Amino acid sequence: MGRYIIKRTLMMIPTLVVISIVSFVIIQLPPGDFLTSVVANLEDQGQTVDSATLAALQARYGLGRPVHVQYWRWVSGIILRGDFGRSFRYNRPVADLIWSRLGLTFVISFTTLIFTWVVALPIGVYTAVKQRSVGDYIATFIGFIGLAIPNFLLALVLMYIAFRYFNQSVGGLFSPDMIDAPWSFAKVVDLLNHLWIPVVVLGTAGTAGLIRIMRANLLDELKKTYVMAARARGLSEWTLLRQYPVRVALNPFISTIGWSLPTLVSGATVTAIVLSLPTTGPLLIEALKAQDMFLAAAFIMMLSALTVIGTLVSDILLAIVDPRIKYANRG
Amino acid sequence: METNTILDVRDLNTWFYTDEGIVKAVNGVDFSIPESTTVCVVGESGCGKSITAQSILNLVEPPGKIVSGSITYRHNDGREVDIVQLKPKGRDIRAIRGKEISMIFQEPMSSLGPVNKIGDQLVQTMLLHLDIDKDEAVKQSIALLDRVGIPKAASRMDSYSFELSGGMRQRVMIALALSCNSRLLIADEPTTALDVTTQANILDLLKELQTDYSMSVMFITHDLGVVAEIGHEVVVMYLGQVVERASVEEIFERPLHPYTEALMKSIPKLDFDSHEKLSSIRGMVPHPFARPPGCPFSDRCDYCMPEKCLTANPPLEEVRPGHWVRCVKYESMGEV
Ligand SMILES: Nc1ncnc2c1ncn2[C@@H]1O[C@H](COP(=O)(O)OP(=O)(O)O)[C@@H](O)[C@H]1O
Ligand code: SF4
Ligand SMILES: [Mg+2]
Repeated sequence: MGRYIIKRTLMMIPTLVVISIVSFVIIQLPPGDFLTSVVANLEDQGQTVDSATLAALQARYGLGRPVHVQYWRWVSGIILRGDFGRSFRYNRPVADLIWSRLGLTFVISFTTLIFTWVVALPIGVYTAVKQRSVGDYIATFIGFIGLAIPNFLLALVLMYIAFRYFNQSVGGLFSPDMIDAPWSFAKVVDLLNHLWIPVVVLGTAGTAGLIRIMRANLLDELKKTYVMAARARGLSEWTLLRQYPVRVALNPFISTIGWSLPTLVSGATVTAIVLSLPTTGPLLIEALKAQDMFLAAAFIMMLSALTVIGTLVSDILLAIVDPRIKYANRG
Repeated sequence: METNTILDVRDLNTWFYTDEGIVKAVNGVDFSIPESTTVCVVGESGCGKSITAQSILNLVEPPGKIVSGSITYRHNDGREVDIVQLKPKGRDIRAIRGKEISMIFQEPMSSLGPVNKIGDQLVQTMLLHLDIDKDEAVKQSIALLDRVGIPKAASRMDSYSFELSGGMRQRVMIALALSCNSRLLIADEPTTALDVTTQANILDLLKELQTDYSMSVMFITHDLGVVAEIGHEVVVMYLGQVVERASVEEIFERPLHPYTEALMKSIPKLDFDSHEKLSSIRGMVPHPFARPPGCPFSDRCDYCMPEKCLTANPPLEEVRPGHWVRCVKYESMGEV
């Protein structure tokens, strides 16, 4: 197992390198660079930029040098000093801007993932075991509705419900008086009070999808001889389900850690704008619009890295749950 | 029920309620299994052998259902229980499954848990039914794997089924079936999916174990050659019914039912001098919804007498001591 984990982790490195290159290249693509925008912006406001400042800035970021030199400066700054460059728009280090938002994005994504699992697993198992029962039909119906409702609509509806019936400040992840407060127990409770809306909004479609997957997989497994063989040994239904077919049918659940992160993160953007959440999505869009290149690059890279790490985690979990996978990867 | 009988099946009906109609997979089956005896159930594919076996452990799944009849199991202490009356998921039937009656299946490739260790499955079964602790269960599991001919048994405890060949998996299934010293082993075509050499090895093993443990075995096969090798008694099934029942010697010396006779003719002989052509049975097992009227075998039978055979299904009658047959040829003939 240890060897497998090390191998998979090492295999992640080239992917991360490619991601960093692609992120950097993408933000170089639009014509001009942020210094052009800076100058244009400042001049719009009637200020003049003296050539000394311009030259200093250019030297600092190595602008005007070959792309690979710029890339190297950027990436080595990140690796060696955790320096993601400066956001010109906010005139602050990028690192100051991204961590809190990345953190919250991660918290929302992760909570959503857990929510999705906790709801989808038992319902998926139930609908497969009680196939064609009333409960199965009800779950299927609700599931299709969940898949069909657009996230922004669900967000608006839940916001209305929270506002109208729970008397809660809507939008954002904190109450107004908590936003700038230092972390405390009360602030965590406040966060949880606000968190459920985006979690339900982001998780509904995924939950409905996972229920379908779990149901279909488990139905396939339940037909196999090993289930009847285990039953023929006298195992109780519950033990049997848990230790045999559900374990096999669980694979796609774990794979979702990998592929659901990008979906969650991108789905989160629209939702975050509707709910005005201080996550990465809205800030990334602003950064892209303003050609705030280091900020945009940092977001793109960190979100992609999150996906790669998610895939790694799901691969490792899969190998733990399903020994056949480790076996196939042996050597 | 006679005192040396361990299982008695009476007028068993197991039907499938499909969208197209009712499939009478088992349609009035009678037979019994004596102690320490191997009873072979023979018949072509689709005759209801597997569903009969599943009924005995009350394992039939919807849309299938045991509709009527009784399956009486006689415990070691003489206590009798009708399995049909037990709840399919209840405690009582679970205490019989794996403990009193165990089962091995046709598909060794898929009968073991795909993500479970061999040892875990053995230990789990033992802890479920036997009054022993885990260390003891591990010890007994290793001894058992060794007994069924698995090399390096101790190191195989941590293996998964996908690491084993078909023959080895079937040996593990046999070990699982033996793990709680069950008194009756149901083997549903346990060698059909294996190559010829492995098939012979597994048959030898089962034969040996049956003697050693003096178990009763219900051995399902479509191959009369196998019956000759391991059977004591034979039950011939056709379209969900028993058409003939007798001891192995009797069946091979004096096959009475035209279906049994036809099955006999289709046994391949390893005799190169004889140029006798291997015959297969004319026609096919009819579709469950296209059952011929009267005797179910009438559309394939060389002796069919339309006025008699197509009017009513003949009853199963004892025409010689211990030799039962369902065919108008022997009706009211007394002893043959
Ligand atoms: N799940 C099912 N649904 C409908 N019919 C079934 C089902 N399982 C078995 N049958 C029918 O029951 C009959 C007997 O099957 P089976 O006992 O498996 O035959 P055998 O083991 O002798 O080959 C067959 O005609 C088959 O079509
Ligand atoms: S009853 Fe008639 S049709 Fe059926 S097996 Fe006997 S002779 Fe053939
Ligand atoms: Mg069968």
